[in-house]
Amino acid sequence: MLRYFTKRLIFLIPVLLGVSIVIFAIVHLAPGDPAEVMLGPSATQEDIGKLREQLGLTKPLYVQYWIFLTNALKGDLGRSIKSNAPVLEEILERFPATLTLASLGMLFAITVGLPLGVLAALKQNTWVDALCSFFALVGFSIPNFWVGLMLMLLLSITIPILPSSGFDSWKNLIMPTIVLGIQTMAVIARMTRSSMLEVIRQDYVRTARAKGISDRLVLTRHILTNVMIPVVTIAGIYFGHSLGGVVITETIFSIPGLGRLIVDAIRAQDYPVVQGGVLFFALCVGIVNLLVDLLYAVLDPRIKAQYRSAK
Amino acid sequence: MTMNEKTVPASSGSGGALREKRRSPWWEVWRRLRRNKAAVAGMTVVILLLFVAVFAPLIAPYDPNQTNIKIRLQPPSAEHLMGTDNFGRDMFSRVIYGSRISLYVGFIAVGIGAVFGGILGAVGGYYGGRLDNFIMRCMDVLLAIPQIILAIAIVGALGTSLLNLMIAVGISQLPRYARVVRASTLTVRGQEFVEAAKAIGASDTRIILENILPNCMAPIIVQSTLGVAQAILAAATLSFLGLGIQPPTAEWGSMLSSGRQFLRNAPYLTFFPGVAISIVVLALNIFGDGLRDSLDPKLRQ
Amino acid sequence: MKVFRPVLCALLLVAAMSVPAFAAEIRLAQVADISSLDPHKVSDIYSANVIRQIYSNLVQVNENMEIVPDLAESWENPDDLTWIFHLRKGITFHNGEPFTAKDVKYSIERIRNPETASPGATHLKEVQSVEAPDDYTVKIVTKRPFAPMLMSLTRYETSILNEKAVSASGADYGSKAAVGTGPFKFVEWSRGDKVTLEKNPEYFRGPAVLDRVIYRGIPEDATRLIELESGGVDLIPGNFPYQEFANIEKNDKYLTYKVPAMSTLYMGLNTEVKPFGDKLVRQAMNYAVDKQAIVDAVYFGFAAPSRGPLSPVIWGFDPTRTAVYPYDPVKAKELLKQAGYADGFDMTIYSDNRTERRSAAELIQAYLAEVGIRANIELMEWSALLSTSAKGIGGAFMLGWTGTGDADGGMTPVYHSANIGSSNRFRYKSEGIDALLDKGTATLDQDARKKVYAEVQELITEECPLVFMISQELLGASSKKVQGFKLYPNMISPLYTVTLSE
Repeated sequence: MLRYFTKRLIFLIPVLLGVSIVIFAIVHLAPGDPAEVMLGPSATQEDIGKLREQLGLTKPLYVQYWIFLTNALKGDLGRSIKSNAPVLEEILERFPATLTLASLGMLFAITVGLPLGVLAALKQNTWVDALCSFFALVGFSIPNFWVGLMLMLLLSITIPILPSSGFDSWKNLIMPTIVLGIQTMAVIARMTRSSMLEVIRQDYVRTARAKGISDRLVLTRHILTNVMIPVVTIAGIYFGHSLGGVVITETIFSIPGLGRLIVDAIRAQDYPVVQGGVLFFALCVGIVNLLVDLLYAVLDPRIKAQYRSAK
Repeated sequence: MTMNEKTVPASSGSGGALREKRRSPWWEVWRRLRRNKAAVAGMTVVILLLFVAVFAPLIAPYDPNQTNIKIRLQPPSAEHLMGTDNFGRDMFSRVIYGSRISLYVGFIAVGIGAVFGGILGAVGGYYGGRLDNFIMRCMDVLLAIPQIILAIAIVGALGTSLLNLMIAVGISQLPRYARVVRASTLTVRGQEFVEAAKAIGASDTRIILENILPNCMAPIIVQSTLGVAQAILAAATLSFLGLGIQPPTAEWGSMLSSGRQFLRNAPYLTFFPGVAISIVVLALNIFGDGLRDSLDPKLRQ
Repeated sequence: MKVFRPVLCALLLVAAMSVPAFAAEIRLAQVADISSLDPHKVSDIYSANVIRQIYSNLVQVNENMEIVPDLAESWENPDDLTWIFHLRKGITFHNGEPFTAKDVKYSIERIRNPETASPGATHLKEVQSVEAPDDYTVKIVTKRPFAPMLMSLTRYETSILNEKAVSASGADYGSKAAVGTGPFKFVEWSRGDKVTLEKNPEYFRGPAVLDRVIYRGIPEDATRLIELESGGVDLIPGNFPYQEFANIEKNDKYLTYKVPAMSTLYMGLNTEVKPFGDKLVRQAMNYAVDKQAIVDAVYFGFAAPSRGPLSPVIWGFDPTRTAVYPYDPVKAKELLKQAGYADGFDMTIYSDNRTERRSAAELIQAYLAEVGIRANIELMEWSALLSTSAKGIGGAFMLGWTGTGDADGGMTPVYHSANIGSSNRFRYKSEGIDALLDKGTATLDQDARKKVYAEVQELITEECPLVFMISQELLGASSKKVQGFKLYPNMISPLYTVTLSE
């Protein structure tokens, strides 16, 4: 078990390495010059050249990458070109907001999606099923930024009961959570429904029912545990995709989070922040995926056995 | 894979199965699809959308790029069904023309993803070993980079243009096609007719193209339908964030983006394009689901 | 841990509601959060605004952009190259250190030091040396006669810092610490969110009335307005959305502020690219575009067609000038024909993604099309636009220029051939313009200077290496509580005189 865990952890490393190389390459390929942005439209080429040297931008790319990598391993992600603050510090300052949003979004997705899917499966092929499935499909198809704008229109402008920006009180969290969670909610609902349908059909459930065990017990013990597996997997996958939603949400609701930090940095060509931010995010996603796999193994005894016997 | 049993061995050509009238696999699919009411509804909307996109110049009452400052920011009326934007352009016409861009982006992005992803998946699955491992690790890296960051970075590096937008969306869709094709390749690889083809001395490329890929068709088609829906959403999202569409092109996502500063006094600018996107994506998703169900009712995700 | 902040806030909110608020706190919303509070490290207006509250300069501008004394009580020029400033006595920095001439010397040397890499260094590049002969006298010697000196010293970049404070904080200066002599002290900066300042009771003009000041960055137009309406924000000191201003002016619950801005918006032409090298073509393009339409469509009426290269509030603007190149597509076509382009030509307009620039580009595209010029628009990121256009972009580019408030800063960087490759993005060389601009920089006599600049404004208009467009108005709004606020034309407005009524 532990060996599986460590093995997966080690596998994370080449992935992170790959991520850092790809992002480094793409960001540096972009036309435009962070030194130029810093010094503004009235700067002379001389000044720009000096600043570039100071920032270490005149060194060959692979050298710059090597410096970045070796420092990153020590925990030093460099300094932001724009604000001169340590990148790691900026990331950590903005991370809690993003984490809160992402977690709440996931929570929303699970608490709404799971029961929806279960209901749809239990009442399969009735109007309840049709309604729930349709609802989930709609949630999956509507652009989340549009939902955000419509919500803001309704709840901040037309009937002003919720604040439209900032991150001070719980009221700020309501609309962003819905916007973030709606797509994942839809996916979880659909996934839950199809897993449940599958599980219900399986033999051992019929056997249990035949034995006379109450439906309730059958539901909770046998069905739900098996349903949780794909749900947990999906949740893990979607956490990784969540950055897109996070960026949208932070943009529309002016929330000071990691998503906006990275996007603004890409725009301003603040290389250290982009590299550090994406790496940090990839690391978080990798860890979440790892935990998901562990949870997966815990939930499914067959898989547990597989790992015990493997190598 | 149910398709295999009904497909005549590939050496007789891929058209062989289709020419048989009775029990043709595609006919079966069509029959099942027709019975699924929701899928039919979805398909109808999609066809309607194609119709609108193709005949846009005939349907749209005005030139979508015709500016007229005097009538700007007018709410929906008889002359302007969806109102006018801040330059006085007719929103209804813009929404209609927007369908062209959305479909265009959707298909090309998915095309890029499916073709390159499919090739990588087939190659990896077929040859196995270290090549396969390497390709899968690359896919992992692609998946680990948040799609939106990848897209922003690509567009930032290559420049904002429709083509680069499609490339960016296509690349982020690569891994899923690679996975799907690889999985199918693995199942087919060990089968007899592949051994037979090898024994005859057919080249690897031929085997991949004629034997393996046709068998991946079903999951590819399903993925593609859903993929087009997702590509449309992704493109709209990126345009919303300000990447990819050159003015004055009418694209739903960028219309939403320009409209949002008028959210308070002209909410119809953001309402209609959003509804358009939702309907199209919803229809594609319903249709894709129906397609998947009819290709194999027992097919798991 | 900030994750628990919402809960904590909810509790505090309940607690706070039972205690009457006695601190006069004002909350402002800008378009973006600041990037640093080190005046030598910033070039954006949002940081500049906050810097203005924390620091003082030798001299300052008032709301009419006139020079007034600040840390310096008086000054004189014994000769054309020397400036002597006599400093006020008895001023202390926020960290308790006394303000002396040494601090002025330190600040000026730091900004000019290439290692500081300050965007503001260019304003003082004519300075040869700075000395502090005694604690309250500063002597600055320039390389050549430099008439814009006083205006350069009013810039936020040339604020006066305290050496001890800067060296004590090292690389964290500007983000975790900022020490000046201004009416407000830096308290904290929660990055991406807001900056908090509090009253400096030792301010040399007497303490301000406001106790606390909070600046927030809210990028979304609609959101900023919503915050004002809901009371989350008290004052929007500029960048008020143009499309909303007419409505809010009518609304009794708010006070509005409107002032002509220093900045102008134009479409620059890279004169090295055909056919922009031909003056007739450039003039044709100027006649082809209806600038009033841009004023109406993009700025909702809150702008004015350009009257030349300078905005009317810039020192040195010739008030007898009127709007240039009135809309005349017939004349445009004629000029094009004369230049040999009767069938028009193809070109590209480069712009960044901001709404105003983009919208203006779209309109220009439509107007050019009417005279046969087929333009396509390419959007790029702001940073890419800046660097590509500096090196020579392949067509026209949407740019604006704010300058320093002085005619020199408004024209020399942009039109002088010495700046080709950096700020002269038109890559335009005209000996006549160069000579006049040099003369304006070197003439210390105000009236003589004005005459020189009047001439060069006309010359630049005639040669037009760009398509003139508009100079906009600055718009702001606040709740009725806010009293005594004046919006400055350079959009850097001090809060010292602001009070909050109940």
